[in-house]
Amino acid sequence: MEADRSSWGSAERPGAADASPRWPTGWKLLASGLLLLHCAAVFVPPFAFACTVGGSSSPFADACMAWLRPYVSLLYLDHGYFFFAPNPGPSHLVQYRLEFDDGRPPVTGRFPDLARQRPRLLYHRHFMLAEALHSRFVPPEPPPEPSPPPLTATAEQRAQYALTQASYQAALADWRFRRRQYEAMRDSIAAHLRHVYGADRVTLTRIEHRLALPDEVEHLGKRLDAPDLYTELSEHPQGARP
Amino acid sequence: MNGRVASLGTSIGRWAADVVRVWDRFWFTPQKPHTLALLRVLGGAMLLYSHAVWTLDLAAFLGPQSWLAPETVPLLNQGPDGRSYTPSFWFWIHSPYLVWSVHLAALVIFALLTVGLFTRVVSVLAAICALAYCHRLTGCLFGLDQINTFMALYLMVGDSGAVWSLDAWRRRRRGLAAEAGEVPRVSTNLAMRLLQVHLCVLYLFGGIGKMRGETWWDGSALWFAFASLEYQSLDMTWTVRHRWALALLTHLTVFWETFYCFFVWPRLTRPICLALAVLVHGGIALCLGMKTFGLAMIIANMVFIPPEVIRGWLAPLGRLVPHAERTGRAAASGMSRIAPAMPQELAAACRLRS
Repeated sequence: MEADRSSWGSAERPGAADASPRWPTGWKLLASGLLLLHCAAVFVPPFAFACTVGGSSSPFADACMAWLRPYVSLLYLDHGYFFFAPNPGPSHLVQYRLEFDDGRPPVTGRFPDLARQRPRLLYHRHFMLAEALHSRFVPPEPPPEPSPPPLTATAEQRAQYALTQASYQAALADWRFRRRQYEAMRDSIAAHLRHVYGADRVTLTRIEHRLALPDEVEHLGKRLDAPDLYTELSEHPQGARP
Repeated sequence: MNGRVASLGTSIGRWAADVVRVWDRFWFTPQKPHTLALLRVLGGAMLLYSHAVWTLDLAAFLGPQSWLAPETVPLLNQGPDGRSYTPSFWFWIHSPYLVWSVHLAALVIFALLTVGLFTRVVSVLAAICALAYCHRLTGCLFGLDQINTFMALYLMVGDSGAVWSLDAWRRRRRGLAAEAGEVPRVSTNLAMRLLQVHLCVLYLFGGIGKMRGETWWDGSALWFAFASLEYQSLDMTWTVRHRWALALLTHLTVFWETFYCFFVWPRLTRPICLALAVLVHGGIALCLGMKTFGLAMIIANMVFIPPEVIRGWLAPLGRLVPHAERTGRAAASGMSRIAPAMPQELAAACRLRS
């Protein structure tokens, strides 16, 4: 037992028994190659995620990620590991209103709902669903198209416009792709609710639950579920066309 | 000049030889199976429980009319280039009866992994099942599923059923020595090392992510985590009156997480590092409503406990099992069957004991 207690450091020198089976060099070389590939696939996704700041990202990290994507996706390694980071943020819920053509009164509800979804893990699955819908949200309006240069524009201004137009086309393609994903997700959730309740129409509303500030709780006695902490999020964010 | 170049070349050559030697020792030194076996029991149980919970609302998550329908998820899994590398047998299953049958089969696989029956085959099937669920259930997943899948992947690499398993029990029933399962193996070490490295990467980027946020620097992040009603499982809002303590714990979390990958390796700091892991993840489990995630992280951290220590801790449990007493006698009769396959020193030890 003494030996056991003193062997905490043996992870550096694993329980080596000289007589235990060892691998031939060829196997080790092959395994080393696979290990390098796998370790890169573990490291690169969070690295690429961390290198994405605002709208820009590291071309190096993006290239590594593009090369490893099949392996990373297959083994479900595409994570940033930003748990509660960069800051613990507001929670997002989904409110639904179901309407029936047969005269039944409308049904409203919200998920996640701790009262209806038990055990806690099942509740958390619904919570993640609401968060995923929010995180995939893309406004229905495409990015604004750049104005063409005047007829009197210089060659440099025309070249600048060509660059802007190219980045606009890329942004537009990205918007189309992400918007399609969001709409597919929203429509699938709506179809599920219609199916479960036998409803004819469903309206989904994303809700943001702001976190109460320490001073609000300590000095104003605000409860974490105070109504003014909940905000209905518009499908047309401020500044966008209605 | 030529002498200096030669000296530099020699130094680089020695350094390269050291790198190769350390790489070889780190990855390819045989390791005993006890840590991996414990991870199999606890990780397998976590896989079983977390997948069993889908059973409570199976049609809503895996049925044809689920929250995210089978035809919607492939679109969500696509990259901007329109390609997807997330195969799952769930995309092929539409009949409710088949959904139930396959789900129950997957639960049986996770149960078999936990008890260690046909472990080598079952561990591969468990990893395939865990990945298939994740690829199908995009949008409903969180940290628990990340831990579950990489645990399942690494359990597949090593022989996690070598001890404390029905496989080991069946081996003894066939008259083979219990010690045969305890032979250190390179594959066991590979599985443990992969999990250790993965944890280090996870914590490093968890720490880097937090270092980008203001609240982790002004000491209020922990408050905001406690103030999230949707996460909260224990009301910790009373801590608002002890903001210095909240700030201290916030800073401690960031530094522990960022520097975990350095402090978990030295013998001196490892117990502190692991104790903090238990505190942080225990806190998440108790206060932030993620018992499964917190527990899964604590289980994963056990990979840093050497097999000899785990075996020492669990030895009293082994003595409670009457069959363990019979092992020696069974070994005596089975020695001749396994002796050719066993290292000479181990075979000699078994003979002495029997």
